Amino acid sequence: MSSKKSQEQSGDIADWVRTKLWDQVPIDIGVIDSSFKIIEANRSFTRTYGQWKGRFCYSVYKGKPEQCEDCPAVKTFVDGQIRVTEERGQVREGQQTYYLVHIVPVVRRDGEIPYVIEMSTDITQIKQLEQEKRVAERLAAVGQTVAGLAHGIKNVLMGLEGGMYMARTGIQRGNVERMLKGWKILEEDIARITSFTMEFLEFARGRTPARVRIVEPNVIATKVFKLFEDKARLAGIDLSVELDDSIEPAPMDAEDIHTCLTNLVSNALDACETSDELERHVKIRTTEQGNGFVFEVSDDGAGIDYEIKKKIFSNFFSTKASKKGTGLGLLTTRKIVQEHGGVVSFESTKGEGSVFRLEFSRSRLPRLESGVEQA
Amino acid sequence: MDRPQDEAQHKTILVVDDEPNVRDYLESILEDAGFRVITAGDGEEALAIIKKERPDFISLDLIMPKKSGHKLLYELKRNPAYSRIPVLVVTAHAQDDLGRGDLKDLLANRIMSGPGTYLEKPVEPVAYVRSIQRALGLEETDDVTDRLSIKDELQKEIRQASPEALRKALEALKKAGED
Repeated sequence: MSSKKSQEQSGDIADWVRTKLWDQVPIDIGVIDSSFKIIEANRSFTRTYGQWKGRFCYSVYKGKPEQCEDCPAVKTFVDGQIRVTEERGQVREGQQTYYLVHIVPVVRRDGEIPYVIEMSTDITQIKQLEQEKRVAERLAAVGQTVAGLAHGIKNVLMGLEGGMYMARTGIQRGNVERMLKGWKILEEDIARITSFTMEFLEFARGRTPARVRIVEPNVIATKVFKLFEDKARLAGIDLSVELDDSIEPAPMDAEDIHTCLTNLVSNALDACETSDELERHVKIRTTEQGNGFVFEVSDDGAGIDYEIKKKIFSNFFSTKASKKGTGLGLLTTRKIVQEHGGVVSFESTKGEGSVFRLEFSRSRLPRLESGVEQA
Repeated sequence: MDRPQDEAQHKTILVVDDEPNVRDYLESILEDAGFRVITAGDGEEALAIIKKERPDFISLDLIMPKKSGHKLLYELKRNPAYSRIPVLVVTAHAQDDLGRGDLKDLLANRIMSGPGTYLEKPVEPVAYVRSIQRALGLEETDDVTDRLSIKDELQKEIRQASPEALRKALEALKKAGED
């Protein structure tokens, strides 16, 4: 009795799948032949794209007159592999749409692939949320630094106070030497506040990685190493680089990552310079890790006191007038890494030094303009 | 009559700060108040000077490379020869992660005693000088810049002097220098 019922039930379900699913599913499904003509499509597809009979997929999806350059379907026709890509759709009501596209081959028993099924899910909203999240993260970072900003300005103000006192009393007493010294301090501090303000504005403005290209992490690490080679040698610091050959190229903004590494190495060298140890080392390292890779900059130089005091992520701004740059370096580094979907972490051990790590996961790296294979 | 300023002239103050501009500033203020000033750029340099010159007072920054103010104070306290030299901590970091811990520790362990022993940057010249004068038992000033040091007084007079007065002054100076 019950087996007959379940047979009916499964029959019902099979029927439903065969007759209704195709048109109920909220995913645009189109079937193309090897000439890229759409030969079949479901209701959702028709609702999204309108009339499709006899039209080509590139025309319908992207409004293009000819085949897309990096067309993933082409490859699937050849190798029968399922592919998942993110594609940009058309602009609808002034907004760029995005789709997650699954490309599945229809393989005949003889191995021929006459058709490919393209299933697209609209992920425009998700992309929007991602963008909003990035903006929120950036704002949070800026908010976090308001105290640091005030601190940085306060620092410059202290210098200005000193300069003013010396200039004024120098004039009052006819002490020209003092007056000139004071004036020089005023000039220096005003210059500092100017560049500080510009840098901070640039930082707060924020932008996604500007030029994302496929780059080799090891090449960037080597460039930074070469940049500091001489400086390290002159300071008597042993600077070395250790590269993991197995790291595959990745989509990044090479200049941005270069900036990050430069900042870390520069900090490490500075930390070494304040130490009294005879042998001081800074090492740049790249490692393939999980589904991603890591840049690491470690130093063993700084003396105990100075090291512990540098609570780096809670005090971004350089408080020393003598230090080159405005100290926004670490903040910028963190921002760049975040925009690449990565994470900055650091450890500092008393008497042993510090290690800074930039960890990138391939699934969170920025995308190149056209779709990227992820099969 | 004993002018406090004269007493000040016999006092040597060591100003320790890793920023040259800050050293210049504090030095100017103290010179204007009539003190003799020597400076150091880090804790190690400071220690060497303390041993050599035995200053009457130390104006000390906290966060410095090579040897922090915090560490220096502990070392001074341990040595009876120097533990009695009054110290004023002048720091930009009393409220933040870099310096707050140090300050708390110094106060808690009586390395420093009481609120009168540290100042936060930016330094207000009169308050700075007053703290030091108080610690040294000197009369406290109202306005630092009002008091000209002898050199400045001389310069002022020189500018106003007639050629005859200048000639007399020059002779007197040369003679005083020979004594």
